[in-house]
Amino acid sequence: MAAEEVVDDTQITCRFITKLPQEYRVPGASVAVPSKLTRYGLSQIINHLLGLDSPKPFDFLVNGELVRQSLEKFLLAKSISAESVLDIEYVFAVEPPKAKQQQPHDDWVSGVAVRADFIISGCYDGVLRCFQGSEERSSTRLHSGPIKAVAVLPEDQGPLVLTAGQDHTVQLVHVPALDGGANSLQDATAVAVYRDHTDAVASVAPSPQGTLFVSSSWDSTLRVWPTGASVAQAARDAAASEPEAARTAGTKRRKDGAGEAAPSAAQEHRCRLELSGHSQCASSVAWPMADNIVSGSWDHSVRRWDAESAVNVDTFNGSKAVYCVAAAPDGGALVAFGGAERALHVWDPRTPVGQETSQKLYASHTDWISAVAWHPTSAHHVATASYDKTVKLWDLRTPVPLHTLQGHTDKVLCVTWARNDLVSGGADCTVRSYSVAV
Amino acid sequence: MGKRDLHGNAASKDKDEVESAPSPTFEAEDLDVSSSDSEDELAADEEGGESESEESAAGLENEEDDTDVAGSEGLESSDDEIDRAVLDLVQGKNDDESQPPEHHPDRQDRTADAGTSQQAAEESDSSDDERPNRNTVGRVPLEWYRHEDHIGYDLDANKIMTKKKDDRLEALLARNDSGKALRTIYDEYNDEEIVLSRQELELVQRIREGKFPHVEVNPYEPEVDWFSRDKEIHSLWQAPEPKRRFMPSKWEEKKIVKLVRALRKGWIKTTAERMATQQEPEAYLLWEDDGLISSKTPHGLSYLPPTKTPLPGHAESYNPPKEYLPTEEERRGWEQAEEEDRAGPLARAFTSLRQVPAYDRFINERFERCLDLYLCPRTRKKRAFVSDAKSLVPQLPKPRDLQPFPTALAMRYLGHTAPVRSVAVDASGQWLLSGSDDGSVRLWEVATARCTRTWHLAARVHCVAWCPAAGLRIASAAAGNSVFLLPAGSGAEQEAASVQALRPASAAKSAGAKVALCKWQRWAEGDGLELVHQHSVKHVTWHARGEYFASVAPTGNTQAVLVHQLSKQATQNPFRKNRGRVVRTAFHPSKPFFFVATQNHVRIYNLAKQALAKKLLAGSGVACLAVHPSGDHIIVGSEDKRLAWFDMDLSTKPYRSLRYHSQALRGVAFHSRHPLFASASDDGAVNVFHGMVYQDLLTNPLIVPVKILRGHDIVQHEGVLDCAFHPSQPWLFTAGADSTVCLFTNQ
Repeated sequence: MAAEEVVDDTQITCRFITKLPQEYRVPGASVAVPSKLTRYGLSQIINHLLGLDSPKPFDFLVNGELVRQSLEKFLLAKSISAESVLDIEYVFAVEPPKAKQQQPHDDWVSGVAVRADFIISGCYDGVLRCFQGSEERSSTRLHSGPIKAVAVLPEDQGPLVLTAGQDHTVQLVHVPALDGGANSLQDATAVAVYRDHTDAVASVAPSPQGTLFVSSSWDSTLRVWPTGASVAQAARDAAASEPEAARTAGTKRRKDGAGEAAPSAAQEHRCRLELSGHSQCASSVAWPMADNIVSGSWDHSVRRWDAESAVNVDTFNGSKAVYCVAAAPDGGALVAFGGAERALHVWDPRTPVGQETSQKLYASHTDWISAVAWHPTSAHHVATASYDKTVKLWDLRTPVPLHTLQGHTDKVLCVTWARNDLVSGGADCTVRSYSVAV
Repeated sequence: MGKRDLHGNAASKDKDEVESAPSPTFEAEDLDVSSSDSEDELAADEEGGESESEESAAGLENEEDDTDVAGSEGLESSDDEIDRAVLDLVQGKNDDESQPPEHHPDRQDRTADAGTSQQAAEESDSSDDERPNRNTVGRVPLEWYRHEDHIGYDLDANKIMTKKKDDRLEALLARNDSGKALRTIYDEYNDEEIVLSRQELELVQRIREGKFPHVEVNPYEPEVDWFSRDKEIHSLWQAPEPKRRFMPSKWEEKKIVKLVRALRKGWIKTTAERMATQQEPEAYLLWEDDGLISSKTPHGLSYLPPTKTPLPGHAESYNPPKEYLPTEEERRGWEQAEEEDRAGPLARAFTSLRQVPAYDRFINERFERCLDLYLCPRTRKKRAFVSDAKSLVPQLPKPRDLQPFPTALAMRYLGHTAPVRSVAVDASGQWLLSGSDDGSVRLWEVATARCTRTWHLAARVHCVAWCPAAGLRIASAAAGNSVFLLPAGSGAEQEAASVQALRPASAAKSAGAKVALCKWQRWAEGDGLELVHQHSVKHVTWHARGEYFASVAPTGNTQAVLVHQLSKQATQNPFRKNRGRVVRTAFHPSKPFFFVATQNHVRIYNLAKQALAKKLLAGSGVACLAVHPSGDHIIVGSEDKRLAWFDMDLSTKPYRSLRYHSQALRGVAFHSRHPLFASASDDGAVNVFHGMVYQDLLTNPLIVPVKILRGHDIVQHEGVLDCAFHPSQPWLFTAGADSTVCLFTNQ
């Protein structure tokens, strides 16, 4: 017993540092804390030192990794000496997400996008829906087949949404409801249809400025197209002169095919750039920076492209089909991707492929990962959706997921971040949103 | 050498005889014979002389004795005895061993002159002289008979009664009366009195004086050196030496030639050679081949050696040491145990061997022995002696080195309400087609298991297949008597092209066919074509280019196999008749070959030459068939649970026959990119094999079973009904009788 007590009494001298605002800083003096303490204990200490009225949970970082065990075990596992003074950084902990709302749909939800407090969802029945809160603002059937992905353009480009459909097309949709105001009751209309793909379009991603977008398709190509306010304006102009044009000469427009669903006014566009290199279905694409496109494919590779020159810059070859990719925000180079396996991969293209540091695995899901979304501002937080009916929230600084969001009753097919929300849609025909403060 | 001595002897001894020899030049052999003869004669003369003198002496003695005895005692009856005793004494023969010397001090004297007396005995041939002792008691001390009335037994086993002793007075008187008293001795052994003769006394006297006992022996006779005294300078033999003495012997030469020849041939060996070869002592195991079966009887039966019984230990002794005797507890345990379980007989102690009872299990053991002999197997099972059993197992790589291959159930495609008969994946790997007994054909999105489209056909769907033509996406299904061609495009252009391809041709054209093999018509319930056959269609398969497809109607006899052309919407019957019930057909992926699987054979027709190219023996009850993407190998699954791999370049028999299923096979499939193939069976399992085909023609395909996949329930004795590989991923789709489709993927 005596020996155990001695062990219990082991103390670790540490210094708490933080990048949080001034009111959350504690004195820089080193403190001896029991080595048995876990995150909760350390958080209590910080709260005690700060003397906060309402206790606030904190998370603790040692050498850039979140402490998820007792300090003693953590130091042992990371082989960090307990003799010297330990610098422990603390940050606000991510509190468990709270289920906010649930929006039933008619069919599987395959794509969601969020702007402000609007949620835009695309479904397998080809219908694009727009919600504000739990209210449905618009619902328009656009594609003859299922919509596979939805992306919303930046706000300065106007109320424009891109939809990728299994009918080989991408449509630029004007959704007046997003503007609010007087036009909000109008139906959404496709202002442009992009048809060059020869097979189903799997994913779509706008450029950071919103003037271009890239689409990936089952024909194994990525195509870059012009989009944004200028295209919408051109379409509106063309629509105004459309009757004459239709009458005067045969146009390049095609009215048959998906014409019934797509508004006849939709302008057609040719792709500006074709990125070919994948040998199989390009299942997912992301455009985090102006000159940087990341794509994942069923040929097990993740590729980084230079958007200007259409050159494949980096390639990561995995062993399983890739279904989804996401890139770190704000110029971060990391790429997260998931696919036909249970682990989320994070690839660092800056290190040569083959080195151990070039990829990290985050395994917790029990089925394939169908979607991954990087937090728009935090470089550490990633959300993944999986066929195991859960959405998981990860902090990349620890291999254990922060939170698991259960609620979906079937495969989760898509997930996206709002500012303080996490929105997911799935095969249970619902869109669920959770409030997450990161 | 011997010859020379003999010659010398003969010459010196019988000079006159030699001189009287007829010729000086006679042969040496003759000379030898004559000389030996003369020697014998000489010896005979000498002996004769001696024996005569002996006899004369003995006769003289006897006469004297006779007179003495008769005169003094008148014991006529003992005359003979005395006579013989004296003779014995003189001869000194056999008593030396039989009589202890302490009782016969006089015997010492007699043995002393044994030299001469023995000589006399040898010289006299009479057997009467060698009469044995009267008494036969041998070395038994006579004092043991001191209180008996006899002193022993004669040869006839009659007692030799002790003579009644005269009392001392009478003895004294008798001694004084008799003149011979001083030279009379008593033989206690034979209970006799012996009167020594004068000669004997003299003999005794001589011995006492240390002289030679015999009178006539003169130890100091002058030595005559017959042989070596004078050194002759001339040959004793006058004849000149024969010539052959100086010639090498012809016979010796022959003998030497023989020996040399034998030596050269190795028939005989020199001592050195023998020593060299015989390093080890010539010891051998006497019972070495007891355990071996070296000899066979003429009837072909081999000798079966009996099993060796262990040697008895201390416990089996009749009087074992105490520690081997069982305690009471052990005894009880032994008695309660079954007979087979007993370790051995129970140890028992007897004070003497005499008290050991008869063996109580004798009858039982004899009976068991007879039973063993009667039941002994008469044939010998030869067990192959394998020192290293692992060497028999083929060197196959480990499955984990052959990844990727499907290992785990990833997804189920739910929607059908009856057993799913067939699955097919399109070339891009995006769409999955399944046909079921519920009459529906469903189109699934592979990645999400979403059923995007359903066609309801009127009859049970037996088979579905994709048209591989680029640009088109046409699904085909065999249901009832019809083959349906259904547009399944997803995009506007693709859809349009597919629909366009499936517009019914002009009615006149279809009517033009003389014999309507099948009727091409628009499907009544939607876009697509329906090919109405005359018989129930079970299978449909496409050519790699997507222009031709073949349908199989097993009951169609002469019209069992029909080949259709999509663009012309025409049908032809390539075979006038089919041998056997056609089950499956397949097109070669690149060459103009056509595979037709009947129930027992797979026939390969060269469509360009319109001839049978090969006929493969596929066993019985062929159920399914798949062609390797290279076209050089096919696998055939049959109802007799076998999966046969045929190499087209090899024989008509399977290169490898795989029996891993416990029920009939229902479907087989090759992967188009990975070296994988799979078989689905009614036992609910799907076996995945690694089947590597090498480019060089010298290396045989490597076939390794890598995984058994189970995911389907068995419904009414039907398990997995079909399987298909994803075109690019190492994924396997299986159609089950539990009305689901499963996707197995690698992990």
